[in-house]
Amino acid sequence: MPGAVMSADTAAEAGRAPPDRSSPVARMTPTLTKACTSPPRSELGRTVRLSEETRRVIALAFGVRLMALNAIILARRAGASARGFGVLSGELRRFTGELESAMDELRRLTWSAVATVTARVKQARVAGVLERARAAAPQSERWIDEPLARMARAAESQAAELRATERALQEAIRDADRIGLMGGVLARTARIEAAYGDVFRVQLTEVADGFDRAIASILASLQQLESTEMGARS
Amino acid sequence: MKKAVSIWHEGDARWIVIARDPDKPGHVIDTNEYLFSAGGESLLVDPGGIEIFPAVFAAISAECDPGTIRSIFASHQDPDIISSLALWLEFNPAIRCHLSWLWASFIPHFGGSGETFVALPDEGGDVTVGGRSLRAIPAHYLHSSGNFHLYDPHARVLFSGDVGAALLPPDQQGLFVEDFDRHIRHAEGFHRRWMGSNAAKLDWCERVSRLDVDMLMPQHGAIYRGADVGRFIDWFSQLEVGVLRAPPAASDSRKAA
Repeated sequence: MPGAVMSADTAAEAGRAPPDRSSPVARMTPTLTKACTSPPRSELGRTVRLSEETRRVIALAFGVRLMALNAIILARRAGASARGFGVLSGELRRFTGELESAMDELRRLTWSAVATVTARVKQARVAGVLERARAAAPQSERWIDEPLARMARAAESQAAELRATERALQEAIRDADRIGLMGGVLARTARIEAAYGDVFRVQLTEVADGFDRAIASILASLQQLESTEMGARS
Repeated sequence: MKKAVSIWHEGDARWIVIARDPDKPGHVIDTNEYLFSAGGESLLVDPGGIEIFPAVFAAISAECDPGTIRSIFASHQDPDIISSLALWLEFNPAIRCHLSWLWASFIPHFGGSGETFVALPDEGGDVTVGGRSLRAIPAHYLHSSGNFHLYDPHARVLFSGDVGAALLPPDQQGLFVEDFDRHIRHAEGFHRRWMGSNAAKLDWCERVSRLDVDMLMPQHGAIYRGADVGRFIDWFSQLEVGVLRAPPAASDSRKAA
């Protein structure tokens, strides 16, 4: 059981004396080791999911950007009857730029979280093995406690760093959501504008439907991001 | 739990072997770690894998002050040799690790900073511990392409890494080879499969036969003493290695290096 602190019962089962907890560091260690070991694995899984979802949104945004470029060209061909649609396509193109910036920030924060969580996982593994060494040889306590205490201090600082990244992540997801909602409004308006496209109405409607589907996928991904993030908080 | 056993001493200098762990999980190969101490400093030779760190640390701390460990010698890059490095560095970040230049940028994946590693050139070099000089001698391709053994000319002991290793059955767990012919059967398959080059083997045998060696200490199995050292070198020089001539028996194919 890597990372676990050996209880008296477990030690008895293993035929060994439980570690002496008389020193202040020894008494601190269970809490400290727990701080090192309890959350990281699920955190790592969550940050990987956040990263994957972010990547998906960036890919979708890129698709919308291409669609917007095509729509601008089509609107120019359609002339005055599709002027409104052209303006909206330009807005959608700007929307994808904003969304990509927001997702870049999200990706940066996610990787910062991955780096911190990875360091914690590694630290937890090392702390677990040191705990086993200490349990195996009570006389080694005086050599093991110092690195364990050092690691516990590092774990506390990493936890604070992770909390700060977490807050920044929540803020970045809220920003992305706001941008996403704006994209939804633009896509719906594009459908209305397509109706005024005269002979290009069918083509413009097809493009507007494409926008709508892509934005719906983006919104679903953003919702997924939010629920993954909320899952971490619950 | 592993035990630390003193196998040579003179004044404050001594060689300790840390070996035989009856509590070790069966899926982890048994290894020997060695500690050389002199002048208040210690060198840990092939400290072992991360899984056995608790047993090694406990055995050492029962015998001496692990705080004296200032350096580590890694014969090559395998996980059973050096994957515990990060743990030793947690214990003392100032520990220096001597190893082949070939692995100096690979082993940092196990841990350590730019200051941790002391790269040995292909021709080897001296490793000083408490004012005493040990010699890292080349054993490339036996089995690793960047491989060193460690010779103590004063104690006349040679740490021989995987050369001399034997995968011993449970009823033959002695620390020293007592019956060479019986013992060497457990070394044969391992050497045939793991030693990569007949040329490298002959070169090693020729160089080592010119050294004064009272004890040949492998990383797995039992230690050769006295006349068994010469017997082993003769046996090894005649063994055809580096050729997979037939499908190996299951026991031979286990990674022991």
